[in-house]
Amino acid sequence: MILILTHVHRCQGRYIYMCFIFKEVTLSSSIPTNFELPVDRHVLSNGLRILLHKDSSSPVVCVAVYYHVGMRSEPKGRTGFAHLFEHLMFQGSQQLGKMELVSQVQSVGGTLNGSTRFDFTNYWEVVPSHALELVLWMEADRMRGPNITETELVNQRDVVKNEIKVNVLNRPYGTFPWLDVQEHAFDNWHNNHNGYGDMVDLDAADLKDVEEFFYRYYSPRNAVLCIAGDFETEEALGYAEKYFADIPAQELPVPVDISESQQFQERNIHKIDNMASRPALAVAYRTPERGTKEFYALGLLNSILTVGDDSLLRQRLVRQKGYTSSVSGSMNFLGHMHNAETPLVHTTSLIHDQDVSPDQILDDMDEVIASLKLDDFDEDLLVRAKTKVRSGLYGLLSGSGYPRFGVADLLSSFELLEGNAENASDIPRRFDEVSADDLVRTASNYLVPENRTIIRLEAGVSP
Amino acid sequence: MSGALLPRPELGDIRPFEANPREINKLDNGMEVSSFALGRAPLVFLRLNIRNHRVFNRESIWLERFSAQYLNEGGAGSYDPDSLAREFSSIGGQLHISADEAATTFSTTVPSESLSTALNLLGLAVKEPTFPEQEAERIRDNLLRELELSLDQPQVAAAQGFRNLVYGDDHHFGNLLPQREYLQEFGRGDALNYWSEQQSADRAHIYVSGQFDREVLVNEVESNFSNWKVGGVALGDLGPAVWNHKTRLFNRDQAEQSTIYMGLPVIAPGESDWIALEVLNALLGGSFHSRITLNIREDKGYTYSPRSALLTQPNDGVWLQMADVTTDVTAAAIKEILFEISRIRTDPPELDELQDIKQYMVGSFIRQMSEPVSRMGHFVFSDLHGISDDEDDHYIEQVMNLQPEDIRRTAETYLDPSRFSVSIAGDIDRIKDSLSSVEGLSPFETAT
Repeated sequence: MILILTHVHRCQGRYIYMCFIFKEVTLSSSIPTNFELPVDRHVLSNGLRILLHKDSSSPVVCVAVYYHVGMRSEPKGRTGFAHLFEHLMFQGSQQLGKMELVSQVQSVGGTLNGSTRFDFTNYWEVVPSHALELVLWMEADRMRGPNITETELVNQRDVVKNEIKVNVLNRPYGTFPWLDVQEHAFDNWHNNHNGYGDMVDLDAADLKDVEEFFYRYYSPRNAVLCIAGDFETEEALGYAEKYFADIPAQELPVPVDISESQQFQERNIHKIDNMASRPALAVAYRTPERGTKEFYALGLLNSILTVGDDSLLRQRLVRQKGYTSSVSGSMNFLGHMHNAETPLVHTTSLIHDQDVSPDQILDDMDEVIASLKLDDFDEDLLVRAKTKVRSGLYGLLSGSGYPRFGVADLLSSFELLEGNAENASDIPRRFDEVSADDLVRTASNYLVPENRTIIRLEAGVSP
Repeated sequence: MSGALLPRPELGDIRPFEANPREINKLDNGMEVSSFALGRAPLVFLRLNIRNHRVFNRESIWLERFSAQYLNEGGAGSYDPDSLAREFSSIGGQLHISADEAATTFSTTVPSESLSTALNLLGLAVKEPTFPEQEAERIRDNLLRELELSLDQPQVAAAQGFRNLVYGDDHHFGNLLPQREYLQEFGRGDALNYWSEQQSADRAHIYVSGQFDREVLVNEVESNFSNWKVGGVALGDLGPAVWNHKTRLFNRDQAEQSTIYMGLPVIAPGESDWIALEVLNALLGGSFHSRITLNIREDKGYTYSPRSALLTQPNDGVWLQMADVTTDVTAAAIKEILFEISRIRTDPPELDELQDIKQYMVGSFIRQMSEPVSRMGHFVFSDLHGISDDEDDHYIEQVMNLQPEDIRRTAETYLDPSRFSVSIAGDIDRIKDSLSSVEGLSPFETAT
């Protein structure tokens, strides 16, 4: 028997600032199982692409601006500059003082952040929907240009150096696996340099670099503005037009060449981590090209091999052999497979015991991969992988701590990287079309020694 | 490069937030069920919390973790560990079981159409775990690895030192890490005993959110959990955190940064000044635009991610400031933190500053209530601390009614630096002389 203890709470009236009301809702018995991300796409005369995704289930809205410039785009001799520049974009613009954008967003009850990825740099705010116009005004002001002096540059350089220390230099496994793998798996400087930045390069950055980088990359034509959440379409478009349309158009920057020549030989890297007490191993395979069937097949292989307690590498390396406590799989160190351009690597990594050799672990991994053969393929593996991928996709849309940001990220990434945000709704179909044959073929073409880089990390500290 | 500048717009009309309440039901065996629909993704989020029986025993530190991992990887009912993992996976979910000093938590997230199967598997995992003997050694080895990896982390060293100072050596919360010699002795019998003492339907609460069919939920909860036994050992009481004005240093040779944890016991959530304390925390160090962050990050560049927080346990709360700062400015950073605390204890904030931070708190509350998982977390927190949902109706009003003097008084009452515990992991040789110059720090002791 079920006894109802409490039921409805109601607020006693409108508060001056904001009202929080509990109301009863009728739950539908038919739960949708489709995956659709409706989006209205518009382009302003200066080339700024605008994406609108409505969701009025609560009065919050996410404004996200994606600039098509990331770690891969930064110039030689200025490693870490894309990331440093992201920090500088919070330091003030023509009508906003240092940190004023942050204080304005917080003061309306919102939150914000920014991040630098391989191919783009993004800035987003999640605010109560009545602050939409204010936020668009602020982002437009920022797009017109930062207002940076030597003082802000020096300050943020120190902050970034501290970020590198806390995340990389002052901890064990600080560069493992992502910086290590990127450095060795790729030959093209744009893909293999340290995107966090060398201290020397950070010190060398000056205000002229700031000006040139902004001028080259932070223009409307090189950006996507996504508004996701609670808004009226006409009103939101009107604000976008009002605040962004007269920002001068510029030519698109010449894209950097991120192509890689084909890899023919296995690469073996050995390194010592003087702060680590256990060895670690990473195996990174170059991926197929984004958007291809093989790319989605590799996404499913990642799910089969490394996602969840039933994944094959976890079963073998953790449960059966006890070499390690966990195995990680990744197709993009700075996000997921949907928000980066190829070339990428699929990396499996683990921290393991001293008494097992990396070669033994590699043999086990190879055996697991070799077991994916067409003649005795377990179809249930593929079915489960597709279910896990679908569940994971829904998960991307919920619960990041930034309501509506998950959907804004997917839409903006597809607009930037594939030229059409509507492609995001096509993700399930792309996975569904992968057959067992595609899966096995992709494994046998890509998950092979001559396509991989192996990082063997030796512990510099005795346990 | 610029078009015409337009003036800053005014805010639009506020749109009221309408949210459905959670419905709390109770089974005959005492298990509670909270549910609310929220979110557009067709997912259902399940989280089953079982309050722990808590009596401190040095030899059983991390026994709750050992047992949780054993539950997680041990299989249930007729399912061996592998087949149970496959069953969860086939409905797009994973079973996560974790435990801390306050609760053991079973959670999973699955596409909405799989609610029924998920509840069935969750019920099995809770009621019929098998604890296979052959898994014990591997799970114990996992924890030994976890222990070693934790010891390598400066943040863990600083946190351990801080918690040990404020809770003492004979307290669950004063011991983040176990001793290796005790951990090595854990076996199947320990997990079985622990679980038989812990598991009890009347200490359990399942939280369900996302999109789900209510009829399926009601039927499947009844069907899978109404036969769960009532038992276990009664909840024990824990001693509170205590003021302990000490500075403890943990040496890390050649460390590029010092990891600082500093703070003191305050009050528990739900007490009358709690909301004022939350607002004070956000103003002082708990938000991006807080005073300490603006000072030691945005002005001085000493650090990347300074933050203050209210650390809570049942019937207890601790305020602390954390920062990883460049080694050479360790003392300077601590001086600035103490300066900001002293300033807010003396001078009420300006009205505008307080108004902004109050709005930030209100907005944070609404965001938290706007997503399934964060709202679930809110209810878990309220239940752990005995806070009624009725308080949610008044939260915004209480925040907005706070005056500058309330914040100053709260700081003066609760944040007395002469009672601070300070824990630092860093290169002692390089920081100890300058630390001696920081007024108000107690003499150092070095952690072993």
